[in-house]
Amino acid sequence: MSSVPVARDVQTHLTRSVAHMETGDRLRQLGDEWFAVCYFYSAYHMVKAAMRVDPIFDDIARCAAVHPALSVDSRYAEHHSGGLGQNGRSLGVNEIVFKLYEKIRVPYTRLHSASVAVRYAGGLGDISPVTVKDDFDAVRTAYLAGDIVAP
Amino acid sequence: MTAVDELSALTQSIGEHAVDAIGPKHLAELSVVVSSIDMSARVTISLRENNEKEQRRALEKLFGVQELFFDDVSMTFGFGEDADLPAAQSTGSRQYSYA
Repeated sequence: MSSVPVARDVQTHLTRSVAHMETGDRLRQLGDEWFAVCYFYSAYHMVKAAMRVDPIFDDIARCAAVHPALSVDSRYAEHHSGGLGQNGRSLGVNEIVFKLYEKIRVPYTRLHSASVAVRYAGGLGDISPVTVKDDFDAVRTAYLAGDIVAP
Repeated sequence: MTAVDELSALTQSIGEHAVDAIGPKHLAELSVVVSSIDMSARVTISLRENNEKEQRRALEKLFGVQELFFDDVSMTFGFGEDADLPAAQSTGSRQYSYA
């Protein structure tokens, strides 16, 4: 577990989201593919901010009805993906988006893939920078409209 | 059945479901790497027509596969080449490939 302090409150998540977006905007204008990483992490912090205030995480029964591994503490999930360990199934942010936020699960998943492609693989390659921007805009629009909330 | 056999069977099953879901005619390649360490499953897809519309369609189909195996693995997706593939060479991983 990293000892680096992580954002714990909505305002900090939003501040980091804007910072990553602005850096992403600058890199995109320069034609630097790392803008995709910045856009993904901007989206990540938007989702984390939404999770912090989503009422589903105030209701144990609602969480359990979605999946046994979803709990009130899931709003604090930090890893992208969960897994199966000695304590059973855990959910990462990607899986919480998959289960709760259908409106953004395609663009969010594509943003994560683009970020992985830049950081670990051969770069954006066939992934169009335009579609990365479209995906980011879709997540941002949903957040600003208050649509990142469990049904 | 040993744990290793179960992992191989699970990997094969995820791969076959993914190919069926997307449709073989839409696929150039597809691979699945499942790690026994954390039961993560990395699905990498190369589409014949690799554009935004087809990627969105493929993802929607793969979400059905993710739901099906949700209690077995933690699934992630990628399009095109994937640096995670060498992980399949470790003894705790299994790989399915379609081409």
